[in-house]
Amino acid sequence: MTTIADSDAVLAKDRVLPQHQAALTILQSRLADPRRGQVRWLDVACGRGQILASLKINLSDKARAKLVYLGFDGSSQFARQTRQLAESLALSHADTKVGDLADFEKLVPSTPKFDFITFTNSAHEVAPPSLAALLVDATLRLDTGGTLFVYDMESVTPNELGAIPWRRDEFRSIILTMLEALGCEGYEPEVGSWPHRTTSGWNAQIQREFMKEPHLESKRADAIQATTGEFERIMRMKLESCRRALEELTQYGSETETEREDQTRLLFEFWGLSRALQVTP
Amino acid sequence: MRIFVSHSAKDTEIVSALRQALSQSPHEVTAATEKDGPSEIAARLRSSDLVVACLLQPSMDTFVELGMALGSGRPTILLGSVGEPSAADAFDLPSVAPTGSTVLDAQGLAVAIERISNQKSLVSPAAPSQPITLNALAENPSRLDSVSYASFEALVRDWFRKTVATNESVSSGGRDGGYDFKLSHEGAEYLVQVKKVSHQGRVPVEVVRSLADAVRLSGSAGGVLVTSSTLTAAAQSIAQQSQIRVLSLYDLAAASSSHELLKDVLSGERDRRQARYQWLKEMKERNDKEPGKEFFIGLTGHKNAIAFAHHWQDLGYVAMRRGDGHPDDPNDILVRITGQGTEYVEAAERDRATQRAGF
Repeated sequence: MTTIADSDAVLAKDRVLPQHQAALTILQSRLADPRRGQVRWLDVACGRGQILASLKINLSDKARAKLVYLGFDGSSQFARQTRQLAESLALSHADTKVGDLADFEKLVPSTPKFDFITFTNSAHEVAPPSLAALLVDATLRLDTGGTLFVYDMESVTPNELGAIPWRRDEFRSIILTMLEALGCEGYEPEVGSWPHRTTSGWNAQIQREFMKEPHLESKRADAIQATTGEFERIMRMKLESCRRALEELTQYGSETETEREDQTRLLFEFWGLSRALQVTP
Repeated sequence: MRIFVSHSAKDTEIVSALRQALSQSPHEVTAATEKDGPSEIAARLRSSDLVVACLLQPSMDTFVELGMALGSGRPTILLGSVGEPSAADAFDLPSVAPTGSTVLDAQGLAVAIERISNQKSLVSPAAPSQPITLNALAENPSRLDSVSYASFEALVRDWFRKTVATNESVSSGGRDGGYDFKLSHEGAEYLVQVKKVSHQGRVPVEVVRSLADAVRLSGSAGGVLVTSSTLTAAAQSIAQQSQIRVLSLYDLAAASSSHELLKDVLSGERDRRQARYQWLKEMKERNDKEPGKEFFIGLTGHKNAIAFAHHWQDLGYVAMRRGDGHPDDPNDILVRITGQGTEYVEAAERDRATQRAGF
């Protein structure tokens, strides 16, 4: 089982989340390219199709008619909902696939490749070894000029059992490790920070055109191994600091309301990291 | 002008009456709603240009809000007076005497507001229009309420820019993820987190932990936490374990152009100095309770106690001698504070009270 958190996908109709707005703006630029008759879009962990909720308003009929959409999710119920929504948008083609994210490589064809891949609000829910493979395999499915857009929150509110939220710099380190293992040293995608009311989010865009290594596929296994190793290194570091913080709170107690909230968040994080690392708390 | 009306639940009518009285003016009248918690009310007050404190039937909250208004230097008008001498007398504030009619009271307030609006001289000396500096905040911490998080961070960032040498830099990156900006000092990189909390609040453990994680991840030389307040005990402990240096608002204000403080903080020397002083202070407190008694230090004492004792002995502030052989401790050292040491602690405490600059 690849999904590690107890979260649920949301579908707020007629609402565009800021991160989806950012993704759709990138998609818009691809659709505007007159040389492209079609734009192939893969939406990983599509949930109930929130990113499509306002697509009828966001994009013109003409632009939508160029879109080939493939949603991928672990829940058949969510995928069905997303497909129904996508089919109502008069796209060039709409489909969804259901399966464990660990089977992404088998279930999502490696050809034809995609012009745009989105992976939003879900990194914290995926078991790190699968997340490493997912990032590598999604990158390998980018067409020339294709973009992988990843977005997630630095903390999850309300807390989710088992979730592992990543901070911006942590994810940056993970991406750089992956790119280096793929032979793309020198390409350092910017990882942006986006403050929200209750937390901060980060996003990264990996663009195929800046990855000059011609034989990416041959480095897949090495890249997965290196990226998994970086995930593990960071998780062990976080687990240790989490444990120390909980030790101090056990000794001194929580002194403020904010610290009481921290305490709860640390307990959730401790559980998530211990579980992912298979460490007995 | 934005006017915040502070009133108790019994005096709600004054808000609508004042709105009516000022309906032809450009002024906007705001007040707390039933749903507002303390932080929302404080935010409303902070975003106002003038405060009307209605003391007709005041509650404790009304006085808290009056205190916030005065502390943040906002022009304040009182409606009514309570106590002897009255709040208006005590703070030399403009006031409107209650008439028994809400409409007339509101009209009286409207006149006073227009007068303040036209006469800048009535604005209190610490008005927010004056540029706020770290020194001003250190002298009057209640003014922190009127400083946004971003402004406080900018003040701190400027302090570093002015303090570090020209070949060093303060980056503009960051924004949480554990730190706000990076500081390059003598060839080493440090991550700096600025945390403004209310002067009653304290920096919680997760802030320090996030900074420590960011330092480890980036391979930086260390982390600096600058705060307007103090740390919780758990946060303080994590900071000490993680080599996170803590700078207070008072530190920055007291050393506005000093490299020495920064050097001391980054090297950890200041932490060691503080710990040594704290140990000597505790020795004095124990001596106050049991004058002349020698205390055993070693295995059972503070883990740095022996090093501290040697340091203070070199200065003549404590006397040390070997004991008669503690069964569990080969170090077996007895120590007592000297008269010179006691005088030193007392003088230092007086200095701390006047300088507030820390050690």
